[in-house]
Amino acid sequence: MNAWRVCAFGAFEREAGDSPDDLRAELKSTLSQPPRRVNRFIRLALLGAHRCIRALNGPLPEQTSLYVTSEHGPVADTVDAMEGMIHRGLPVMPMTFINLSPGMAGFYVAAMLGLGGRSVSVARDREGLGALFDMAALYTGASDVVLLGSVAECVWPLAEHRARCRQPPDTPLAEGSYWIVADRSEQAGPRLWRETVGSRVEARAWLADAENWYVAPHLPAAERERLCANLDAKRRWRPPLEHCFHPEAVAHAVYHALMVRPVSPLRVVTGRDASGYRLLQLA
Amino acid sequence: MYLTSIGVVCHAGRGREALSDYLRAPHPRPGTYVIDEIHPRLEIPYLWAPAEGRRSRTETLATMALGDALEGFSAAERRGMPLFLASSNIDLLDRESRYVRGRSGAVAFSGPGAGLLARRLAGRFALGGGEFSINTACASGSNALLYARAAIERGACEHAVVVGVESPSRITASGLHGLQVLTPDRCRPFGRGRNGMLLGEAACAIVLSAGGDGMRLVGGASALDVEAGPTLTRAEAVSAVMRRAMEETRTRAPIAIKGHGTGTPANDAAEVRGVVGCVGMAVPVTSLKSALGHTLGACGVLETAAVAACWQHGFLAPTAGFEQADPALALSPLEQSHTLGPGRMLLNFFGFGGNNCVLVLEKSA
Repeated sequence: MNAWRVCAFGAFEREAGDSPDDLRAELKSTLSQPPRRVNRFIRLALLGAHRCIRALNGPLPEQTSLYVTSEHGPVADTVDAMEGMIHRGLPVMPMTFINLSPGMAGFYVAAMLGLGGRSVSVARDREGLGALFDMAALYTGASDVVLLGSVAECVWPLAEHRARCRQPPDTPLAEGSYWIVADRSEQAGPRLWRETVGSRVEARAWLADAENWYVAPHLPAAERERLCANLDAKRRWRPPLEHCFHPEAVAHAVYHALMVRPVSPLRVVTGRDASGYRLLQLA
Repeated sequence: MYLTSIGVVCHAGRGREALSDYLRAPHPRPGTYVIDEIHPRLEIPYLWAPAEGRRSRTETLATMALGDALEGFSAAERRGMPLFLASSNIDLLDRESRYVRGRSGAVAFSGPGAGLLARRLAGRFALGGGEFSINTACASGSNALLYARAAIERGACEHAVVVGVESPSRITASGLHGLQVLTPDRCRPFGRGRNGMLLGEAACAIVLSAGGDGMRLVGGASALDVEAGPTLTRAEAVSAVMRRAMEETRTRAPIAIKGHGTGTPANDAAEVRGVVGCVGMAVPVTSLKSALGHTLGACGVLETAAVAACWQHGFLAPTAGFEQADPALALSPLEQSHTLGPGRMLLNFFGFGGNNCVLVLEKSA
């Protein structure tokens, strides 16, 4: 079993409005020396990570390993680069290209926090948060502390972005970044367990015993229905932005369960692959 | 952990024997990658891999390499095997191709999220140990190898497979062209008059196993350097990560170094200073990027496989395209293939975003 103590957590999130918020100004008011020439995706990552670290009593160890995931990555710049090239014949600008690298958010977060351990961008189809914990289980580094982040970015106009995300018209969209500092310590604090079970029967039984349960919205609809059938609807966890399409919905749900004092125990089926059903428990 | 199986498709051809045969005296024959959509249109020299198929080139190449590497592994062995996929921009290539062909509808970047290729590959080959898509730019493949090694070391599996794959992307080629780091003619790593990197296409799969008797990935080190900015390599950071890799693997005297050696003026100079600062000037150094192309996120897997394939035959490949020493650099790379006995080698990989990674490979007597 893959178990972690949550040392700190934080997020920057919002439901997308008709036009994008000015994150540049927000970052300027948050950091004394905000990095220049970064994109919205990186700004979202920095704002969330900053809130997470504020919740820590002191700096992170320099050798903290940093793992970042994103279901869609820096999608606004990618769209801009693709459309500019294909429809307007424009080359990709150097800084746009540099910032398109999925690892760049990790670079700027590490620079903000003075980290020099590993920084890895990791993805797993519809199960990024789980992949972060699985990667962290393989390597924490000398400090045994990890910083895990999930980032989601919207692109305006939202009507196009809904089509891009294959969502019906008028579906509310959300964006933000969610961060957890975790270690292997036995000290008091909320704990996360991560494991895999092979069958749906096992996953259902595990959810049926939960104080609060949540099934990743990214799972295929039929699969979700089978998992959720006859579970106690009153125990279904409903995070605030549940009405929105949110690429990092699991990270969002875990963050809000952590926000409840004391932490709201939560059992989540985060995804399924050839190895079985992926589970995450917070208590 | 042992490199028990290799599948490879690259400019050298298909299979490890094709790779070692080619690298004994490499003569790269660049083709051209043309981006018609940009005005004026962009043409860059490019080292293509031999691949045809109905799927995207990325998926076709990855399927070929992975299929070759997994030959001989039973269904039960595959069920427990995790897949680590390394690429410079995961799934971007497919999305870009679909958009250009008009298959993704009216909006760019349509469709499911990141990690889809890894899921498809794991499904096709019935790999049941979980899948990871890893991106640390040009250090993606080497980092993926370190995580695969860690998975075996922690007892999570007996075997793990790492796939590095890279095929041409308009965004990547245009972006690198804008950064003025692509050579207009040929690549000359560590040489006088070097003027940039030559991109290449490849897929390479390495199966790492707990047991074996051949080449061994002893370990390595990976670290982030945030001092120099996101695209530059710093000599001090190169020395530090090499030193750490040696300390963590208890490697006293490497017998050779496979440099990252992209052929760009600044990064080659920083790497040489870093290498000399760590191990001095007496250790032979080579670069494979002028022969195989810079395969970006795949280079960690491809170049590790290439070193292993050549070393199995007792030699280290020369640096193709090297003609004249650069008086500003304290060392010159190998001009001829170099006889290499048992011992340990360091393999350097550096990527955008301050990612520095060094692998330690061992061949026993």
